[in-house]
Amino acid sequence: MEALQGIMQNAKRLRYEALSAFAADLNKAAKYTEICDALSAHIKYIIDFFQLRLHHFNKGESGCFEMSRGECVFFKPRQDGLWKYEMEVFETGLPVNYFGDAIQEHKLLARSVFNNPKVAAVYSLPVSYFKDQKILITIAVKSQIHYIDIDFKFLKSIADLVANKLMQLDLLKKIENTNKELKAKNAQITKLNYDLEQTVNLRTAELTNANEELKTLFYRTSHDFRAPLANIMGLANIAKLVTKDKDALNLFEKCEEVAHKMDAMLSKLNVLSTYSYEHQIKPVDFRQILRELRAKFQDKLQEIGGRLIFDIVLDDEHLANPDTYVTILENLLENSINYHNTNLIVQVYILRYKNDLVIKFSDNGQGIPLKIIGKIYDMYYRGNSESTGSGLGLYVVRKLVRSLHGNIFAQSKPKKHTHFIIKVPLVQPS
Amino acid sequence: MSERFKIVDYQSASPEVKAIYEETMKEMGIPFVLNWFKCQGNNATVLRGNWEKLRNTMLRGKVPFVLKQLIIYNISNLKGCDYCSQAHGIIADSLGKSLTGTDDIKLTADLNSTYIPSSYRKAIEVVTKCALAPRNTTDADFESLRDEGYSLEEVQELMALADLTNMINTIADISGIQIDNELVEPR
Repeated sequence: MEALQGIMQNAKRLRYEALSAFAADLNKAAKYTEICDALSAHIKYIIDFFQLRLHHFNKGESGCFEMSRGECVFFKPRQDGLWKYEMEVFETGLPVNYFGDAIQEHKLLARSVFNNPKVAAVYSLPVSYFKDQKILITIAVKSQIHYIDIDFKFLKSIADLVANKLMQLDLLKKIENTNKELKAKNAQITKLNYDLEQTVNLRTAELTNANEELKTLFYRTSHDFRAPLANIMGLANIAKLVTKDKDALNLFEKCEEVAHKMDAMLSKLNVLSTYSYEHQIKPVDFRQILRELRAKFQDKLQEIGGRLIFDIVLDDEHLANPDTYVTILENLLENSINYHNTNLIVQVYILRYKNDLVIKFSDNGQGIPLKIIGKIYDMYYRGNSESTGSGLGLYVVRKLVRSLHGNIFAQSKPKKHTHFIIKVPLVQPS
Repeated sequence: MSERFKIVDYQSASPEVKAIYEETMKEMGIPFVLNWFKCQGNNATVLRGNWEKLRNTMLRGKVPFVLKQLIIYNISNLKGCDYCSQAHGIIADSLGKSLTGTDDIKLTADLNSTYIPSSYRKAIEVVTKCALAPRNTTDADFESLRDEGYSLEEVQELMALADLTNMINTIADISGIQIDNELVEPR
């Protein structure tokens, strides 16, 4: 009795050793064929069999290992008689066995690989894992064996190891497929991006060309218009000398006035077209610019009793096109004069703040109503119906500030004051 | 100890023989040189050839090492080769013991027990038969091994043991070597 237990113990050890070697080889397997190799190399040392079929179901997918005489194959099984037999065993969820003639008489097994003259018995063991994953191991043996608990434990261990490996391979396959899809999508996106970039470049080039053509046309047209306009103004002056008729003189004066307005408008438009053509970069002398502005608008300021005062706290040299600042300040000053209250005071402070040049332009004029302050930079926008301006002044100002890579902000209190804050980089980008 | 072949100890071996001795210890996992090698230590060429054959047949391949030891033990025992049956019996039993247990029941005690996997029993039976009477080998012997689940490659590996055991038995018997003291009384 003691000797028998010893033999059983040793046999169990041999089988555990083989199971361990099987697990090690299975662990290394990365393909179904490598699982086949592990099965054919080790299972014969764990369980006695002549034929072994291991059918794995997972979420509707089915894979089958069939092993006999040292050869193992993996395949997707057909839904044949053996399949139906396996489904029936799964239905019961219990191990089943057939001996001798019962195999030939079984309508489904009789037409399967297990109907072999050497086969004396067939055993099937169903093992379920998750709802959608299960394994059926069917073994055919050459002599009737009475399997005991330990045999089923070994079979269950084999099924567990194979199920785990198949799940792992399935997961790896999904990851690989996802990676492939991502790679394909990435390539598609890269191509689309490239195409888009090409299209954008093409459109940008077309727009740049069109813009250049427009600027040229704008530049030439504004210049061409000024010559006949000067002629009209000259002729209006001469006409005033050749008649004394009051109505005619009145008409000529009106003519001259309209021509002057048109001339002022053309001058503003001219600024937009010329700054990109005729700019000269040099140190900007704000004192000189403001002095000249004050001199230019001296008569108008005197007429309304206004004053222009300025304070410049700037030690750093600022390199830019001075004409740009002339136009900006001139337009702002014109607005202050046009929309003044009594005792107009225009204050201009120029200073450095961090890396910016800051111009604070303030007046105590009519101010800008809150509801229109967002529209003042629009082209041809006039603040009120009585306005005699061109509607281009602040549009031009903002355009020029942006050409200096800066920003302009307005803050106003109607009938009290208006502040314009202009910030531009002290060192202009090259 | 036999005087038929000169027994060459590790210390007195030539560098070439010493290198082979070291290979045997390293690959067999034992800390001493077996008498079976020492009795061939006087002829490096013979030793090299026989060691290579033993190494490739017994230590390498797909068939479990313990099964190979049981086969060699069984053949040697039936042929009456004391040295080989003792040496390979001790190795097989020590392997059985090293798997988990500490009991005194040996793997070699009953090789025909139905508790031993039939693949083991059939391999021991067929290879022993072929080693003892090679001429009596039949196709059925090969078929029976295939039916137990052995591939063609594994069958060839098993049959090579019949040849190897005859070779090692022959050398052990004609040299008259005795079982190694280190095997009988392991430290």
